[in-house]
Amino acid sequence: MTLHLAVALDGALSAELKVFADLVVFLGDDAAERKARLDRLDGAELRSDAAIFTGTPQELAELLLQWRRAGIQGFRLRPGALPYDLEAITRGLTTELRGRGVFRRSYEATTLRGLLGLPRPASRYAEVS
Amino acid sequence: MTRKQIHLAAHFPGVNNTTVWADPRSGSQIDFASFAHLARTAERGKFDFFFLAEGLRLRELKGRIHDLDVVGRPEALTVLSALAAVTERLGLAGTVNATFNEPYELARRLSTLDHLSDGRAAWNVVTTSDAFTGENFRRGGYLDRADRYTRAAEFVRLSRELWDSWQPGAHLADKDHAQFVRPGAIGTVHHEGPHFTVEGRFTLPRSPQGHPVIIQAGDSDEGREFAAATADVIFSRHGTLEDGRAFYADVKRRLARYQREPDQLKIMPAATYALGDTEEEAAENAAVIRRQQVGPQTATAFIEQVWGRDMSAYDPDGPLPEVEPDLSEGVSQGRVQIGDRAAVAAKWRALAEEKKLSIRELVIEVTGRQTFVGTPAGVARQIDEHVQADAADGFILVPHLTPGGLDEFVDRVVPLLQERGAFRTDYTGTTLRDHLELS
Repeated sequence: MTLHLAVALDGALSAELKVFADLVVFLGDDAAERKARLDRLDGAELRSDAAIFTGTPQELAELLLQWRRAGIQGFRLRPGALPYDLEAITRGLTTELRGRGVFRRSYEATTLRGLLGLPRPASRYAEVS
Repeated sequence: MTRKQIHLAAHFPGVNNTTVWADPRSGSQIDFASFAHLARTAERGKFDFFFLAEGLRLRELKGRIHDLDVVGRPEALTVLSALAAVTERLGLAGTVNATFNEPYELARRLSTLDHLSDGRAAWNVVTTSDAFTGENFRRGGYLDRADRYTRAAEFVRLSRELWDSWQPGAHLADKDHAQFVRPGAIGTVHHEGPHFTVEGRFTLPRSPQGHPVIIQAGDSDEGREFAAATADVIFSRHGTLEDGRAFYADVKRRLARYQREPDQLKIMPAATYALGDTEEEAAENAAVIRRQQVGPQTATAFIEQVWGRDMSAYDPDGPLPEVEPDLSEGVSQGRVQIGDRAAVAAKWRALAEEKKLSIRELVIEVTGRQTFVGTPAGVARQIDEHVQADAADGFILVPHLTPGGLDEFVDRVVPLLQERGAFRTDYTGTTLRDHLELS
């Protein structure tokens, strides 16, 4: 099973309902320093409705795997600062996840349903054979 | 004095029998590739705009889906938004109903298209008083004839208030001073009218064209008056020289009442065409296309629409039967209704007898033949003559094949229009308003 980095959904676990977790991420060796600097400039510590992560892509990959073992199927990652953290996600984190065999190297499907592993709904008007 | 310039638009083939979907060259009416092909062809020909019609309910015949023609088509503004990404100058016109939508929502979508396309959006404002279509909408949806245009007029007026509500330069995005909008530059709209009450601010800056171009297609007296007061372009159905000149003069005369100049409203009739290397070949091609458009079942469907009864027992290649029309109720829904069916039936019968026509030949004879038939030079001359004689400011061309039906026109007729000095050899402006010479 691969990890999905996309939109968050809430609700019970089932094959047809993917549960995504939200996470604000500052990535890199200087992540904690950068966040501290932004907090200083802002005059307050960053608050969010989601958990806030600071660390290396490798550490984030470990955390996501840990959450996955707890039943989370995907993540919506919010870059702490653009463009640095977005690039760190799309380059650094994805490399780490691929190294662990849990994230796609190329698209395996053409539709969004296909990428999420969701079935195509049967038409209610389809004739039953 | 420079020659009066022709304006041209490309109509994506619709869902009536003008479109020959059974031809081996015909492609999908749904796939994006079809829309992209026709739009790119139109842009290669330096057309003013690309035009999409609208269908809000599938057409029916005798209580069943009318499947002799194309069935189903996507929603216009979504298709046009995608086309904005694969074209650069071509205007993008969508038909959207003013009877069923909400002004705030539609004004947002049209403004968004104008932003995305850098000023190429147009809205063909249509109305419906048709209960059949209204059944698909929340309110039971339709309006009396008299209310259709009052709602449409208020709809457009309110949309313009919304489009105008951000002052030019409202958007500062001043990073140094952490100021995104200029204070006071976003106005509040207070609109209270018979049809709509809207109170609040619009969500988008004024778009590149200020207002998307407004197109109007109704031909009734109210429709003409609405166009004279409101529209930038009229999509008319008066393709012949005489009808065109009468319509043109009538509508342009109405403009003065609204303090508008004649060139502020462009009149563009729908036009079909058939080309050939010689006049004879063109006439032959035109006849072949007409036979494709009016197949045996389509011929039967046409006379059923007039006779108001099941005519499937009669051979379409045989004579018109002696039965009288049933005037109690119509058999077809979601199509343009025929007014006085008794009179139409009498006229058709007289014609069939005089010319000894079969049912199918009769229908070919009485329903829309091609506007322009001839060699590329002949068709270019006819189009130019119509425009120079003030029968039109240009034409909205309706190809009979999807998506390649415009290719030959662009390759062979457009260069001749350009040679005559009557059509642009390249775009001179960036917005649709520029192309249409609208101030």
